[in-house]
Amino acid sequence: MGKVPLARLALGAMLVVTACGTGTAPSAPASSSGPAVSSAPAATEAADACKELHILTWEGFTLDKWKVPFESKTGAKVTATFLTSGDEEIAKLLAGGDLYDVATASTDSYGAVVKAGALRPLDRSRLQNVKDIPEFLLALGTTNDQLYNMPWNWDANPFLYDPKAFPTAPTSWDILWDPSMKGKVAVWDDSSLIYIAATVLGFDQPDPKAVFSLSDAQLDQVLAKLIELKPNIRKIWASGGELQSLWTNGEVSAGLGWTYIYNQLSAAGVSVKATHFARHGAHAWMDGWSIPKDASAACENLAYEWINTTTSPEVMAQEGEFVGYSPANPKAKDSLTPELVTKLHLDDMEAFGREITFKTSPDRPEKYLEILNEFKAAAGG
Amino acid sequence: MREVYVTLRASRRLQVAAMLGPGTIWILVCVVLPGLVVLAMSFWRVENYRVIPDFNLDAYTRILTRPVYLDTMRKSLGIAAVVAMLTLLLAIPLAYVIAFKVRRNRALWYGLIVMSLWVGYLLRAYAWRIILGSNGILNGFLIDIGVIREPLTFLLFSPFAVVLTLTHLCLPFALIPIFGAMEQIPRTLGEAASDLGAGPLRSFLHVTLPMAAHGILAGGSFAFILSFGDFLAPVLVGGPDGVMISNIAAGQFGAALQWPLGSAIATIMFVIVIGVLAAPSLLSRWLWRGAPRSAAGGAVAPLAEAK
Repeated sequence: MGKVPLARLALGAMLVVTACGTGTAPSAPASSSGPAVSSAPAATEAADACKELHILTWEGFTLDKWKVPFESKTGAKVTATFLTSGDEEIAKLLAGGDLYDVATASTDSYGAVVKAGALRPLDRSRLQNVKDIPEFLLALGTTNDQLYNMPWNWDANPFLYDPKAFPTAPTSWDILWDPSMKGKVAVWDDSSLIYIAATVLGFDQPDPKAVFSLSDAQLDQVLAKLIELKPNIRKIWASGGELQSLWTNGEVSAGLGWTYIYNQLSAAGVSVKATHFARHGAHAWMDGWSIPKDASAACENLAYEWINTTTSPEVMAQEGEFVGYSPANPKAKDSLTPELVTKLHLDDMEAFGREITFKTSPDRPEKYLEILNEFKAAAGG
Repeated sequence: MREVYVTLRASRRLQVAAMLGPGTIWILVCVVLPGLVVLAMSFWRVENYRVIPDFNLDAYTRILTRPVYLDTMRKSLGIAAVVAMLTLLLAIPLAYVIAFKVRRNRALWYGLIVMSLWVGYLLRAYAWRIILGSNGILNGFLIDIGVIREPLTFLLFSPFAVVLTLTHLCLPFALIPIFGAMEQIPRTLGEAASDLGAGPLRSFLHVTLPMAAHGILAGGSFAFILSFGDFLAPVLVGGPDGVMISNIAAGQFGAALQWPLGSAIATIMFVIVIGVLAAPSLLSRWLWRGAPRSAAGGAVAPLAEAK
């Protein structure tokens, strides 16, 4: 007898909670005033409407060096949420909603995110530094003649190796399969592993971009090749912190890495060097600033202001010096030392850009993921 | 009198509702509802980065036709079974010692082990990395005392490390129900057994174990379910082979946008876990069909007295 009111109470509560919901379904915009882009000039009085700028980005992209001056100039607070993986970037951007006013889109995820309609088209007239950015970088953030992703920094992920284990620098990815590398290789849990195997198998000739649209037969060969690599793998890592700790603790002596991590390791005195191969493969990327489709209209001016500030020559020079990736704005070289200018390819952006292949989303990401899972699950070859 | 009786019953119902209500609501909203959403999603499909509610069995077909999913599930079940067994092998003697052999400050000993839960999973997994690494504490020590010359690489980034870390994680969870069950066993039964000529081992096997059986099965189930669903241990301390089914399920929700496939894997895992939960109670009922069920459930049960 006492069960009836209890059940009704529970059912009622459940309905109320479901109805309220958090409302982050992909097709339901939260509180946006529509995608229309006005051409109001970016102004500091924008901060009056917007007190807090929410940014979704990678660690290191909101260093105090440029964040604090921005906050005092605009009077608004900048809150950054850090990503830990490309997967998270896609998942968060596709979830929509007005949680973020500015988001970093990487070339890995850009294709998927733009096709899903998760980004707002950027108004070039409001981007102060867009005329200085080289065309090949802008192209990476442009779809159907519309700019969605304002380039900020870019790099080709280097091959890291321990000079103590390699008296002469290695010259190709084949070295990873060498029997002398048993238990010494660090492998990134990412589609880049498939591109490495594809390069070794020759699928990158004549067109390096062919690795993004491999056939089932080719992927089976890639899988077999990767299984052959297993005895040499010490660890499959997923985050920059992991990579850093593997090298710092001397667990590995070769593998694909990130320049930012390499800089930290060098500074800490770890025995490691970075290099790029002639047939390096698709390991270049570009990160840029974009505005999510459902971002609040109140903060849009401030968002453009953030983009303009961070793509200015001064901040770009700071990025090059303290984060270590190549800045997208070549004017940054005016404030940097000649060594840094060379290291960051600020004096040969176009030439270097032609040499490298930018990593984009594969045609069939679910198939590539399945191959990666099968590789991870297979017993060592 | 009748009115008083009715009033009492009404307030009693209210009391029961107030006590069970929040818990029931929580279970409905946080367990049942999401579970139903996951189940529904496993039958849908993805098109243009959106999940379309169009009933199909593609996800389940894929799981059955590409060997990686079932193979990994089998491997995860294997690891979970090994971890559960090792955890019980450690937790049963530990619980026995604390329940029966420790005379003073029993709560302190028990508390020390349970307190390790406060440290948090990630921190403990990282601690194992520092201990087991090639240049870690253990290898360093063994090299220093001359037992080995090269570091033992199988210690970290291997199935050994995964099982070790998971056993370490599950031990307090298993200890709690086992200790709880053993604590309730009347000391008088053990004394009676020795009066009748049973040695300590026989007494343990034929009196203590059967009476703690429900706690042991609960502890073993906790350990099994925790390890089966774990995805952190393979990432932190696992080697190139160490992918478990949760990693595969979680990965489907990233760039691959295979929510139906991930949901299908999750649903199958859920069914397996329900099976594992149901099996022990059926098993214990069959194994110990003659023994008293538990000291609390049986006839007049004396409280476990501290000696």
